[in-house]
Parts: sequence; structure tokens; C-alpha cells
Amino acid sequence: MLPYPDINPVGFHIGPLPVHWYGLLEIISFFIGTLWLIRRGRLPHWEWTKEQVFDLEFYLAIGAIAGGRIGYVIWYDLPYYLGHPVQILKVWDGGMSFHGGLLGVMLGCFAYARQHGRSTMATLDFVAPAAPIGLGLGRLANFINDQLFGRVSHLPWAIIFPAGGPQPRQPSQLYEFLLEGVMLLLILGIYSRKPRPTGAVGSLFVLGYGIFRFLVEYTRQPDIQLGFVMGPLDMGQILSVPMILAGPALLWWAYRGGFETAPPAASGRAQPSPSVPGGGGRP
Amino acid sequence: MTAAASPKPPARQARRFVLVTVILAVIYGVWAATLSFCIVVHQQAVRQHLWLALRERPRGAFPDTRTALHAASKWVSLLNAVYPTEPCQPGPAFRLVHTRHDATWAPAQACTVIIAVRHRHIVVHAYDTQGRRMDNVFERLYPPPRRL
Repeated sequence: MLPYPDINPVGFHIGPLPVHWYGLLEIISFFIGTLWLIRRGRLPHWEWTKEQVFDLEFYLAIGAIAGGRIGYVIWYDLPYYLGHPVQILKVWDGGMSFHGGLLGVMLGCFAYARQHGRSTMATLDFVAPAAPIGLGLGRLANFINDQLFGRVSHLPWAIIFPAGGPQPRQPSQLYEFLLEGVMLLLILGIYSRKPRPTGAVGSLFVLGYGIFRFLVEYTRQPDIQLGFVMGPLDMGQILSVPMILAGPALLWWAYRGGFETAPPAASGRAQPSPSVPGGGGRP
Repeated sequence: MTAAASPKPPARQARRFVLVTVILAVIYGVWAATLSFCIVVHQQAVRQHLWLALRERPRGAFPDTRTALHAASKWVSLLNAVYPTEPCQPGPAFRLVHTRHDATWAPAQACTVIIAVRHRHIVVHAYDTQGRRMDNVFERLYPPPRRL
């Protein structure tokens, strides 16, 4: 059994203002992700300017926060929020869903692409490899915050989390950091170094995240208001199943060139295709 | 697996693929939300039953197992009179298990609080909506707010 490191959730103070590790790590991940996207955007098969990356991030931030919150409300605690609708707006009280955030980001990419004359799937491909940075650091922040811990376990590396009672528990946040953060970052980083068919990188993200999340959930304590929802499966797994099923289908469709459609005419400039040679061009 | 291996699908087929994917995702999302709603409502009731049983449980060792079982039986009858509805299925919400050794022998039954006697003590545990044993400590740390 390992001791819980008991890191103070407040990293430091700026005057009277406490700066929490959670917020700090989110800002760091946003900063690193932005730098990476700017660098990635300079590659000849992407051609995104710094300003375009900043524009896109505005859409992504709105999509992730709104989608994450709405997803949590409808999939994790709807009876409560129906009775207390004002609480939905109190995002700072906690309660975000990755799956909702993913849908929000997809809608954000769709909105940005429509407005700037780009392909939605190509935009998703562009941002997908940077997503594990935020996901991984977010899981580290969960660990520091003593939240979303694992199930009771007597493995040698189990930890007694102060908020989880006296029993040792799986450090599931660290598993998630390694799989959804480090591993997914490596997979997508390596895969996206070469030009791929439109939609392939985003589809691989969907598949990879779905598999990793589904597996890690077996070690994670389910949300207390829900518990298990279908036999041994919890809500995180239920929502990951369609990702595991859709991932291969989307990859197959991407390699068939199914996402190589012309973007709708709009005010912005069309994006050059990142397609494989001979993979069917896009304007 | 390259795009050159098969012809690129026509635009109409591509649109249909996207449409079908979106429709399936929406149907699945609605189903998951409905499932979640039902589970939260049931789980809330079981958690309240468990919380109440843990809080009101007669404590301390009884002189012998027979006395403990008698006290447990009376207590279960009282609980079932106050909370007559089992959240998931017809039947009592609290059940007494006549086991002299280990309450973990009790058969799993969804949404039920099991009360048993172990070593002359009255012990309590509960099964969630899926018939999985709930973590008493975790439940005690986070008692359900009366919010529904």
C-alpha cells in the first residue's frame, strides 16, 4: 500500500487569491496544446495560421465547457438538475462529462468549419492529437484534488485517499493519466506525423479513448449517485461503448475517402487536403 | 487499407453515412439518459435506506445470537413499516438474513438492504440497483442529500 502524497490542492497564492492545481494544470495544458497546434499548423499539409488556431480554440473552449456540463447533467444526475435547474450554471461546483465535452468539441469544430470554409473532419483531425494533453493533466489534477478515485483494492500500489475512507483504493486517476493522456498522446502523435485520410486521426482518437476509458472504468469507483448502471458496467463504460463501435467504422470510412467531401462555401479560405497520396483530393 | 483500394463513395452516400451515424448517436444518447434517470432515482432510494439503517442500527454486542436475531427481526419489521417500498421491484426494502456466521453469505438482491447478525452484532449492507454490494464506508462518507 502506498501513502497518499497529500499535495495541497492550492498550489500557491497570488495576493489573497488561491491558485488551485486543478486550474493551473488546465491552463498549462491549454498553453501547451495551443503551442503544439500552432507548430502543427505550420506543417505544409495543414497550413493553419496562429490567428486561425486562436479562433478555433474559442469554439473548442465553448463546446467543451457547454458540452461537458450538459453531458454531466443528462447522463449523470438528471433528476437532481431537473429539480434545481439553476445549479446547471454553477460549473465551478463540479460535474463535467468527457463524453459531453467531446460532442461539444465536435459541434464546435462543425461551427468553426462552416464559418471558415473548412472540413469538419479535417478540423477534428487537426485538434485530436492535442486533446490527450488536457485529458492527461486533468486526471493528474483529479489525483491531486483527492477525487474520482478507484475502487477498494489490496494491490501493493493501492492508496488510502483521504476522501475515500479508510480502505485502500486503486489510483485510477493515474491509470487514466497514463492511458488517456500519455499513451493516447503517443499513439496520435506518431500516427498523425504523416498525412492521413481526412477523418482518420479523429476516428483513431474516438477508438483509442473509448477503449482506454472502458478498461480504466473497471478500477474506478462509480459516481455515488449512480453506482453501476447495467450489470458490471458504469455510465463511463456505457458511454464509451459507442466510441469503441464507431471508431473502427469511422476509420474504415475515412480510408475509403468518405470524409473527403468539399467543404461548404463560406467566407474563409478552403483548407488544403491532408489526404494520403491518391486518396482523393479536396478543394 | 488505402483510399486507392476502393472507389471514393459518392457525396450522397457520404451524407447518408454521416446522417446515420448522427441518428444512431442521438438514439443511444437518449437511451443512456433515460437509463441514467431511472437508475439515479432507484439508487437514491437505496442509498437513503442504507444510510438510515447504518445510522439507526442497534450497536454493541448482544448476550447471544438468539437475542440479537430477535432484536434484528423487530428492527427490520419497523423499518419495513416506515419504508414499505423496495425501489426496484415488489417486495420489502429491508431483509433479515438468518445466518449465524457471515452476513456476506446473504444472497445478492438488487435495491435491498440486508440486515444480519454476525458475532452477536447486527450488521448492515446493501445491494445497488444492479445487485452489487455497496461500499458501506463510501456511502456513510457521502450520505444522500434529501433532494428528490
